[in-house]
Amino acid sequence: MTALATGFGLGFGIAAGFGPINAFCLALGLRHGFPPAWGVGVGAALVDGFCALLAGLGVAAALHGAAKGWFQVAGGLALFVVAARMARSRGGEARAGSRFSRTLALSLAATLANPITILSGARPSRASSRASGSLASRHSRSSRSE
Amino acid sequence: MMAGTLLWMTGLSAGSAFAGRCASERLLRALSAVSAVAIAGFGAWLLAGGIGALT
Repeated sequence: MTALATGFGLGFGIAAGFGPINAFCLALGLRHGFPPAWGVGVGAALVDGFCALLAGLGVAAALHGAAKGWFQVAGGLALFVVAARMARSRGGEARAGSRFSRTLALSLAATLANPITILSGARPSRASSRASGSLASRHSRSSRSE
Repeated sequence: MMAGTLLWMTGLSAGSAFAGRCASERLLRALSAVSAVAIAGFGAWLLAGGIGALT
């Protein structure tokens, strides 16, 4: 339960920090309403979960030097694509049909290419493993005393 | 972790969608432009960091 609460709090705290995905979600919500903005949110949540899994498996430790550099370049280019799309669609009104799926795909690509997401996923996995570790030691202490 | 992110993003989406109904067209255009510039700025920052790490 403690690990779940820690994960929930960290997910909320990381998402609440101002970043490009938050700005994208905010702008889409203001201009086109809830569904496309929520598509961005769902994409970000899916990638956060995936990155926490990767970080838990120790992939974050491999993100150093050239690998991190290539990730950053890819992330930067993905954000430029997002910004260009936003600037282009500024004048036109929303085509309601596939907006949720389109913004979901765009959010998945932009968040996946962002190395900060994977690196920030490393903290929750460490924190939750610490929480579950302390729970396990408390449990073993109490079972020994029983 | 996913649930925390999804809760924040749902609140942000709902809040911005609600605010979008009240805001004028001119203000929305200005906010979209500011957001696009902010996102491009983050992109430039990441790109510069990546190129710095590679060279």
